[in-house]
Amino acid sequence: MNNVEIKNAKVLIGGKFEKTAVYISDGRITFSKPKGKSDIIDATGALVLPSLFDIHTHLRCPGQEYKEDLDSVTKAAVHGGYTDISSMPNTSPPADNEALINYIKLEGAVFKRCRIHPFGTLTLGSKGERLSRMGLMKKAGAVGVTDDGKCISNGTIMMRAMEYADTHGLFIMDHAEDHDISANGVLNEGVVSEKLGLPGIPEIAETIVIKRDIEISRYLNIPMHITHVSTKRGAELILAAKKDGIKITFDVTPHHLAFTDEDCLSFDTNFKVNPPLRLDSDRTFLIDLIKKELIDAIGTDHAPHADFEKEYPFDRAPFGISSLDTAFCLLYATLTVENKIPLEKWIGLISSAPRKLLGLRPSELEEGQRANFFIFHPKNEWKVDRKTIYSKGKNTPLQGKKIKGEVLYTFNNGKMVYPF
Amino acid sequence: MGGMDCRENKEMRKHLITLDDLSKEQIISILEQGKAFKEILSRPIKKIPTLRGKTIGLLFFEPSTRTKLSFELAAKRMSADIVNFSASTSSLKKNESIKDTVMTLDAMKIDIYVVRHPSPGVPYIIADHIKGSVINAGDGAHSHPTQAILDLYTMWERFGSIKGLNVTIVGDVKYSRVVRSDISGLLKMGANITLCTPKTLLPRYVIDARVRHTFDMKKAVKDADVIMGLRMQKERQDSGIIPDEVEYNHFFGLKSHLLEHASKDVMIMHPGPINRGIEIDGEVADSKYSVINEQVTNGLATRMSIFYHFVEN
Ligand SMILES: [Zn+2]
Repeated sequence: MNNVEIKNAKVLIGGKFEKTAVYISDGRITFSKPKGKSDIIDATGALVLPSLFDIHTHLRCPGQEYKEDLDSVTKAAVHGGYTDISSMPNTSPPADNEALINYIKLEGAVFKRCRIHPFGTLTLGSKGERLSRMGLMKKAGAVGVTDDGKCISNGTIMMRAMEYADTHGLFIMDHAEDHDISANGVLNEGVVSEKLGLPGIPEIAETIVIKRDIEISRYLNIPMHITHVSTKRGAELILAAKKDGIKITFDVTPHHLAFTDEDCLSFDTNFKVNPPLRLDSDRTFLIDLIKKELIDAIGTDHAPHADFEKEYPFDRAPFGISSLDTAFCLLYATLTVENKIPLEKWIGLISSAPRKLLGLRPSELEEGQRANFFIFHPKNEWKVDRKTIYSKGKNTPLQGKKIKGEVLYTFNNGKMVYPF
Repeated sequence: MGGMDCRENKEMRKHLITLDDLSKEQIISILEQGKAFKEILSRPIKKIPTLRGKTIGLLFFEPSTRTKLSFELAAKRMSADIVNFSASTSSLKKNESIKDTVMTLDAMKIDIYVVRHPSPGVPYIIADHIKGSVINAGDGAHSHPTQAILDLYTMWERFGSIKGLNVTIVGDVKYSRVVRSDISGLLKMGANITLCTPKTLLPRYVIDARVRHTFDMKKAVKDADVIMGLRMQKERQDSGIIPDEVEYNHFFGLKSHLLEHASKDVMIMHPGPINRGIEIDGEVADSKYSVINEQVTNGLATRMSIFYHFVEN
């Protein structure tokens, strides 16, 4: 196999951009010209960045391949600069046993594009009643446990599930939602939901569970990760808990940083997501936390759906945004272009930070490291449409829009996985 | 990345989906034309040829007797051809796509679609897939503009102007499309609005800062020119939003002794059908102050006027 030489790009090394050539030799990174022939990539104007890691991907398989399959999701991932994704266990049937974890690991590897790190459920069938086989799932390769999409409402079961997960050293993630409060809500409760006559999901549906989780985590002294925090109040509660020494971490999604409930005014179901898009004051607060480096990670909550499902009326369409193809570009447009936060300040939130949270090896652009990186051109403009995104779920708010910043190449273990 | 307000270009396409689609001047024009149609309705021969050769599709995706009847009769009085499409709840359950249904209908060259659907926003979906006009006959708790126009008409006809009128609305504000549309229309026309309802039936977020609310019926009806009662749905009690009908009637029922606090020639309105002894006492509904039946006639006249304004010539 030939070496690869990437020239004329700026390379993110140790948190700083350097203008240097990067070589791939034997699947590893080197900065000095290796022996033998090299295929040359002229990356003038582009950036070489460590490959991305998504802590929150809805795989949809097994069971809902009409929404997404392992071929399409791995394409979407590498198109978006991701070489690693963590799958959520709310598949059909739910990933609540070692056989399903095995299936996802083995079948996901077939396409040789990106690695899939499966989460298992905390409870059997995510029903919030009996514990799942967390130990055996960990042995089969599960990196963490969550009942994402649902939230265990029974405090006793939540505590037991956490104690048992911690027994096996599993990373615990919670989707903080009081389902009795969110009930039949379909978007943020506020002026917009009142105007549209649609049932709202109040902020407190999230914050009341965050508060409970903080107390459980403190009482049991077990770390817990709250995923897709959408409210200012929720983030404030977590930051205060951290100050008290409670081992609690959290992530936010690209769409909660980019959009607000006002985007739902047109009844566009591509903005229907759970937790819902909140107020601009929530959005700007979360962006501010990124500026202050107080957020632990960014996860996409990639949730692909079939066209016909998103064509239902707003109150009947499923929740979710298809995100992997565009997440990095949307973050770049929102954080760097719009809010002037340098890329090197936040890219860790979707590359090294989630790896660290899950206890996996970081992937940095260092001499001798495995060549896991992507090349991004910040000035290239492309149109998001049905053909340019590879996820089967075309349900992105960016559908039909032009976006600046394009992933040109993605390398996984030295192999070019995008373009395919 | 801001969302687009889809109303902007819809206005040009002559749809009536919310009252925001109409300017104050357009509302007045509809009211004035409504008066002319009402006069026709009192004649021995009530049919006029205005919509001859036009086809009106009545698309009712949820059961409705009164509103549908009113639209149907308005269309007949104007000599339009009528196509009825009533989707039963069972075909809704089969997840038949609205887009597919509507595209089939559009091939029949319908001029005006009258749409009733339990989900907010469906009239917009339909408007996107047809060539004619859409008139919203109620989409979930979102909007019911023709009800608001008939209510405005009833006040305008009686008082000559809506500006400065004290309008009190009593009942289930939170889940009512009628209230959303009435408030929007009344504010546009310059009325003073007071809402009276328990907190569980009041939106947590105020619809408009100009709207007052109180939990005290006596205060609510004080100096009211118009008191509008709203239907109390049985399911509110079942889902724990109010204790029961007895308690509701005690605190929020419209009773005759309250009327002495209102303006001398107060007008009692209700979109119907009424629950006697729950949101309104029989005595009040049948009193000389009540215009509940008059509202039905006005509904017919104003819907004729709306057809007249929204049909393409
Ligand atoms: Zn979730």
